[in-house]
Amino acid sequence: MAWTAPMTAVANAIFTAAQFNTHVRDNLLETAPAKASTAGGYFVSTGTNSISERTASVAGVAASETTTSTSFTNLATTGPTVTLNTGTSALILITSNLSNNTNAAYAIVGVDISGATTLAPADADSLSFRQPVAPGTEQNPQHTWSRLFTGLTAGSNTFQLKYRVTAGTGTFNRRYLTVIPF
Amino acid sequence: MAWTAPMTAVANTAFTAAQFNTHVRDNLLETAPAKATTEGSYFIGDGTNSIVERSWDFDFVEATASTSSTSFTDLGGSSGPTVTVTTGPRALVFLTANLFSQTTNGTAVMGFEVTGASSIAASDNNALAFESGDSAFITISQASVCVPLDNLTPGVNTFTSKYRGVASPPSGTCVFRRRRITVLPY
Repeated sequence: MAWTAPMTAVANAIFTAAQFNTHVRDNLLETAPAKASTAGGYFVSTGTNSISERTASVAGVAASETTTSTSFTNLATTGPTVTLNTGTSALILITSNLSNNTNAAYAIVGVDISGATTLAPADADSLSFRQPVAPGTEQNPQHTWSRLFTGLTAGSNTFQLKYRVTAGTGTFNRRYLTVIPF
Repeated sequence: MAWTAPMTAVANTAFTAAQFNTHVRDNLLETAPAKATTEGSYFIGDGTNSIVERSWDFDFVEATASTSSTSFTDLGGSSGPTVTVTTGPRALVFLTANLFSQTTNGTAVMGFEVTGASSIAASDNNALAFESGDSAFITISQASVCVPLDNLTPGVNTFTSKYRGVASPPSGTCVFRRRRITVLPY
């Protein structure tokens, strides 16, 4: 059923069953309580007079793993990965502890999107850290990168972290992916 | 129209057109589907028995720009990014950038100011900051910070990114690119 602009009742006019079903029953079925199904869910607009329940999701991989790949790839433990329903936008947060054993080399964590949408990871949309100083004295910050992605294809989308370096060996642990869909 | 606490029907009492209009029509017009206009927006309590539709917004500047200013400023030839949204008293502000200082132990800082209905100056307390290492081995971070605000004046507010280098230790030239500001109003 869809929303119908509520009728204006007129004094002394009969209120029919059909009117009740359209203007009361079906409209109530379009409201948030009728659509609420998941604790922690929230409601977004899917267009004029239409709402949908969305649920945020987070996934994590604690393991410390490495790569020497200069193109985006999986680590020994794939992910983390999140699959959920989105509209055309979603807020993505990438968190990781990351380092590289080679001076002036980057460790990079990007996000791959598949399902209704296809979008490959990119350096411009990644958490990254350029290693200073000599090998053996690596810094390993633990921080987050975020972006509100727009232009998604509405539907079921899968978000998965991918990793690469510009040189040397990158080490990544405490990796978390949070997706807040709209 | 405003929300009215739904009436309690009484057996054998006529249900009038006026009652229908107040307790059914007007109350339905206060619900989320009645107020939904923009895909991707969301619904926020606006006070007792009142909700409002809010929409996020963001702005992005790819260009590399720099400053040696130790007080918050615009970047030369590349101001912003800037976002203008309607807010209540709260908002989540996300700042994202690729940033570094060219000076040993210098710190590059990206903050923001709020103008319009509110007046909030840029502050290190509400900023993304990164301390670079040795100038011979420059450390670069591409990361974000999330700043929750609960002191906005409701209405149309403009959020503008501002930049500086920390004065002590000296930060010299601080470089910023892929600069993004995202605002989720509440």
